[in-house]
Amino acid sequence: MKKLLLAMTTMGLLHACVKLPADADYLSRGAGYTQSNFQPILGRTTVMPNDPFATIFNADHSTLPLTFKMLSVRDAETGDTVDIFNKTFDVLVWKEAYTGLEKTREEVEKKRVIEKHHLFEVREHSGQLVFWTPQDLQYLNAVKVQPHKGYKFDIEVSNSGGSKVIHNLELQPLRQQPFEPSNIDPVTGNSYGTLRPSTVSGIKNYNDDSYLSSSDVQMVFYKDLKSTENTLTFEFRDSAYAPIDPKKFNSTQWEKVCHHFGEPVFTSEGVTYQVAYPIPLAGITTQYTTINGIAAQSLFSFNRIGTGGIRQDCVIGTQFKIYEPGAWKIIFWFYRGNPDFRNN
Amino acid sequence: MYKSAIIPGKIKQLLTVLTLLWSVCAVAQTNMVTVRGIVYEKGANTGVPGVPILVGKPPKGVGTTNGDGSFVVVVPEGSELTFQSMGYNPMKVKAKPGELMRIYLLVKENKLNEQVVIGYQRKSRETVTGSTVLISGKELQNAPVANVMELLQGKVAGLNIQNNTGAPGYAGTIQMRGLSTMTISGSGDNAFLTPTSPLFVIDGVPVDPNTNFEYGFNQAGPGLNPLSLIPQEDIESVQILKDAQATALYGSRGAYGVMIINTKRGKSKVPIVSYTGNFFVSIPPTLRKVIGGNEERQMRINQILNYTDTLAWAKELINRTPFLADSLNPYYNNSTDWQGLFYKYTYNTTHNMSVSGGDDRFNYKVNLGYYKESGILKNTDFNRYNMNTNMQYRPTNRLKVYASIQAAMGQNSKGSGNGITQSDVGKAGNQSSLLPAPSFYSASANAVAALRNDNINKTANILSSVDVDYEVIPGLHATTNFSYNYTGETEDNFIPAAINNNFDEVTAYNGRRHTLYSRSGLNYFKTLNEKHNLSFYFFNELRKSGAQASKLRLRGTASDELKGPLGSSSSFSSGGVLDNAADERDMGLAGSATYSFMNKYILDVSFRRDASSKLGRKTPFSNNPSFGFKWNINRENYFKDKTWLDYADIRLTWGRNVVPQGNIFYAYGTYDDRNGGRYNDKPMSGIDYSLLPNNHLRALSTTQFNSGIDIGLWNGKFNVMLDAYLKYVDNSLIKVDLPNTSGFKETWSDDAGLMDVGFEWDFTYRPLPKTSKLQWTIGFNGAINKDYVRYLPNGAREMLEYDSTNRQSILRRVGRNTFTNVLLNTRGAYSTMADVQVDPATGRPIMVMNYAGNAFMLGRPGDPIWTDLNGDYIINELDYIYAGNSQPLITGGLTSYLTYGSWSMNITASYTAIRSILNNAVQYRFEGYSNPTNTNMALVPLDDYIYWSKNGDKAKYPNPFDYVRQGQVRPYRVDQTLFEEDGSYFKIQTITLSYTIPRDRTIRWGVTSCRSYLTVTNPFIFSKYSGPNPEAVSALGRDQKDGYPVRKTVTVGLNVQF
Repeated sequence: MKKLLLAMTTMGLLHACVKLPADADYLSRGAGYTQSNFQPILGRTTVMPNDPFATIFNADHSTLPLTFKMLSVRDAETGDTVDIFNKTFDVLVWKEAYTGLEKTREEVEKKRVIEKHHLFEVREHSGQLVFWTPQDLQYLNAVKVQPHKGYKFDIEVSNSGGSKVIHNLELQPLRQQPFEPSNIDPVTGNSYGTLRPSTVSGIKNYNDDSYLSSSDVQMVFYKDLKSTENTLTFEFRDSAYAPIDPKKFNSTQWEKVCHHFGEPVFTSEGVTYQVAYPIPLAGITTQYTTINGIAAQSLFSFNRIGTGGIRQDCVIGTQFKIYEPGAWKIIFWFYRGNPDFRNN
Repeated sequence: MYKSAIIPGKIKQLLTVLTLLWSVCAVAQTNMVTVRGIVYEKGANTGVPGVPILVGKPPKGVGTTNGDGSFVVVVPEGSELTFQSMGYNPMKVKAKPGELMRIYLLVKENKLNEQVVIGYQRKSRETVTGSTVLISGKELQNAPVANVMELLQGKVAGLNIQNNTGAPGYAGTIQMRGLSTMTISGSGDNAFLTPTSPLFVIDGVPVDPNTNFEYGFNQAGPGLNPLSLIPQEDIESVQILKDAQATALYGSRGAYGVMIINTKRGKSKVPIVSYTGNFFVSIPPTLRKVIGGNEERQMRINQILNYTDTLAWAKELINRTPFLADSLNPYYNNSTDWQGLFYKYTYNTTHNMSVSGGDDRFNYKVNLGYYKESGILKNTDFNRYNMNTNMQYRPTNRLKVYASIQAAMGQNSKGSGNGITQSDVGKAGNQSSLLPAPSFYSASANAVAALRNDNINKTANILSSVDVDYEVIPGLHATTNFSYNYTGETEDNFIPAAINNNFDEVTAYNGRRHTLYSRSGLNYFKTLNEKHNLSFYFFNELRKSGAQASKLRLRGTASDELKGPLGSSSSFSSGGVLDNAADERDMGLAGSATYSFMNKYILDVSFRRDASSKLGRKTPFSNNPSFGFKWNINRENYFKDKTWLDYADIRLTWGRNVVPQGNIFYAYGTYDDRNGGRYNDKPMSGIDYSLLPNNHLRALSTTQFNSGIDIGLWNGKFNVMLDAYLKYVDNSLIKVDLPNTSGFKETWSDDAGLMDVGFEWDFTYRPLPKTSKLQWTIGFNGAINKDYVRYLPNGAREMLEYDSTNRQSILRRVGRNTFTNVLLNTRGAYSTMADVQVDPATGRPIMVMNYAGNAFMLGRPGDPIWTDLNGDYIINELDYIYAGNSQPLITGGLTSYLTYGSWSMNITASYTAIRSILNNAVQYRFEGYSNPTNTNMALVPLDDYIYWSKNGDKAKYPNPFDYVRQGQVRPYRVDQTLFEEDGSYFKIQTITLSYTIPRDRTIRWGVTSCRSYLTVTNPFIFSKYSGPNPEAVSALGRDQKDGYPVRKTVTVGLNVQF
């Protein structure tokens, strides 16, 4: 009987000793970033890559998901570690998707909460890089912007098959550009040229039979630095920089000018909307944006009876983005000729 | 010294002789009586022919029973008769003259006494070290089947048989001890696992059932499984050799296991004529559910009204779709059961007659069989005609000649499908029910194609063999076996013009295969001191096989009534030799030695060296050793007087086996004539750059460790057989893409290996005492098998078999199960907008790449929740997870055998547990909702599914109605875990009730035995799977929409012996 027991135990042991091959992920030697230089613009939360079709990381058939970890962010010129990237700051984070159908400011604000984040992060499994905008923009002053050489950083990529470190990726932030289109040079900070609205059509010059084009109108973005409220005001000025009553753009769909809360407030100088920043709030297509959802689009229009009794639709408007909160104004200045609101 | 004797020596001798004579006289003087009787097998109640009857001490043969089990012997009055026959417990009965004695012999339940065949040698099971299972042919008679493997399901632990097609004449998949290959071909629903059926040895002749299936689902020709040509009535026994030691001597192609089929032989001096007839009804199983008639119309209209951008456009859409708008039109006002059109009850018969007789010196058998089964799918059927004969002649004790001829013809019709799948039925079965049922004209050309296509296939097979055994000196046998196996296959197909763009089409396929096989060897057996048994066996094997097939096609004969002549219109006809020709040679040299000490310790060693012509030029040879040890514990002195122990043993084996794989082009490449181009006025030729030949292609090899225990307790009351094994599969083929700098596109690498770890159990229990009139035998067997990939070509850790059709890719990964489904992980549907995941940085809801891969769609309520694996808030090809395993973890079966007098009831069941199935069939019908104006889509009834229909619904299934969304996100796409289901099932296979009419009532008709039975097959299947049958899925676990459903049958059968 003992013999039998012994034999059975031996057999059991034999099978316990079966060596199974390790079930480990595969991490390719060729895995790595396809882009090594990143130039986010400060003051706007940037996900790199922004285009969903684009990839900045080639896993080279490694087992997914990979785990990414940012190692050290250091000054590109001195090689010192940079304190500001080790700290966390309050940032606004979306918890619920923006739809463009929110009726009140509270509804929007309920969808965003404040969380602590590092300014520059790598997403844990996708390898996407995120540059956050702190609630208090003052902190961004500590970030060195171009023409400074910026920063270098390493990213560790791992899965259960191993890990590798991708060295010396470059972060070269660009200075803040609170609005777009922008006439501030991203490297030097100098402003140049003038901004033009993207759409000017059918508007007849008051003084002659010519029609105004986009080059006949200047556009000015202006923010009252002391302001605390979140408003957006559109103003129209004639060639003498005298205000034009916005009501004159009488066929404008005021509800669709921008995503706003409450009724727009009209004065003789302009029309003011209660809004939430940034504009647009998310990169999705809404009735307030361009078709691809990348920029907001505001259009103002009126119509008049033109030559030959034809009713003309006259439109002015622009695509734009504004990243900083505050009381913003967008001024359309018909600096080369006034629009003709009269019927023929 | 004078030595005197009281009785002188000579006188003493005389006296002795006298005494002897006297005593003989005395015996002769006792009253001799004539005893009549019949010997039955207990339980079966059939007469046992050829049972020797012994009388006296020492026992002396006085006669044997006749073909019907009856006997008449003349014996001394009052003597005791001993009935002793192989496979039965001996029985002693006092002779009772004057009355008809009824002797009931008990079948010996001691499994160690079974006769098994190992390495072409017959051995007692006690001396076998390998793992084998013997199934008696009696267990395979109760239900008529085209392919006897269907009945073996669930009977052998570790033999995984899935009857995954109901097409008559085709076989399901057979796997011995888990996976033995990593090779897949095809994609989508037709992804095809290279079959690894065990090698069949039919009366000593190896037959490879895998040859017909090398080309996946898209093969030409009849495609019948060679096993379908063997009538089940002619099978004496099926023996399954599982481990490497048992299969060692079948070496050159035994890597997938070996199954030995022995057909019946004559064994009764009085010829036995036996007839078996079955009448059976095939019943279509539950088909796939669809919505019909007005309900379907309303469903489609509501879909359009509710989910179209504008009401005006919705109305426009309905109004311009006549089958929705024109409800009074008889053409569209139907409720056609499209699936029902194709399926029907069929009534089928089988007849089998066999004549056998003879004794040890000379015996013979002739078996004539006819099997007819019409498929439950119209236009498909299978008929088999066969005549099998064998005879054995032993003129002297030293020479034995055995010869057999098995001739069979299978005639089958595949309808318009390819036998295993029926794509036209699949398509036509998915029509909208609003369309009219087909007549000659039909709204569905597929339907007419399935019903009116003419398809006739013939497979003729002749298998002849001669086996000679000559004893040169005592103990030394010279044996030779020679066989020739020829199969001719033709297929004629005709598609009428009315369904084929006004061009009828005739195709003719003609193929032939042959195998010439010879095995010669020397066999020596020696016993020393009655303790040491030694045996040696050396043989060589030669095999030559070839195959060639050609096909002709003619489009456009004069009319639908003229199906030829072929070749009449050269511009429309094409044809030629197919590229699957084969010409192969295999050879093997093998030797084995066995030593046994008093049958207590047994040691087996064998070695063989094999070569195959289709392997790489540099690696044709493989060396295959094996080793086995067995310890019959019950022969130890300690157990000598323990009556509770019938037998107990421990087996340990190790060995390697091979099977040549691929075809010759894998190893040698293909050369072409460069389209007849010439260079320097010489014809050019060159290699085909699409495939790089692999000079080092080796045979697939399996190396197995096996350890087993057999225990029998309490006089056959309880038997256990446990086996644990470790199987390494090496050199499995995988197609590898090559870098374009190599000049070649791809090559077949044999650098992949896997392992199977498994445990098998087999319990038999007889709760009632042997003397009881009621006898009950319960069997429970099963196997748990887990497979792991060990290595992959080029040292890769993972390889993805990309599925270009369905995107249900298959992953092979080192350290994991061999085939892992790679799918999007679905976890229900987004209930409200608040549940939709959002990118915290941008505020954008999760984006889904559309199926075409050219746009992103924002998530919204009612969409499926797909796991965003990499956390980039985009669902795309980077988010596929490694999901379920398509291979089952546990398989096995249950049997119950109950007899009471002449009645018996036999129930068999089988189960498969823990396996993932991709329910592509239901997915296809969910996609019917993707276009409410499409008539070629049937709709699945949604009552059984929890689906999202309005904000706030917590659902498993996404919104099916939003047909616009289907074109964008495609929520019901096939590449997701939503359609991955557990395919575990428990199936009652057969229930048989049989009654043996008492001999007294039949003998006056000259009938010695008459048994009638009623059998139901596949009556119940218990499963959580939502499709109709979790077994009728492909070997890779895909439920094909055009699969052939497995039928149920009800059989009435009669077995008469004269």
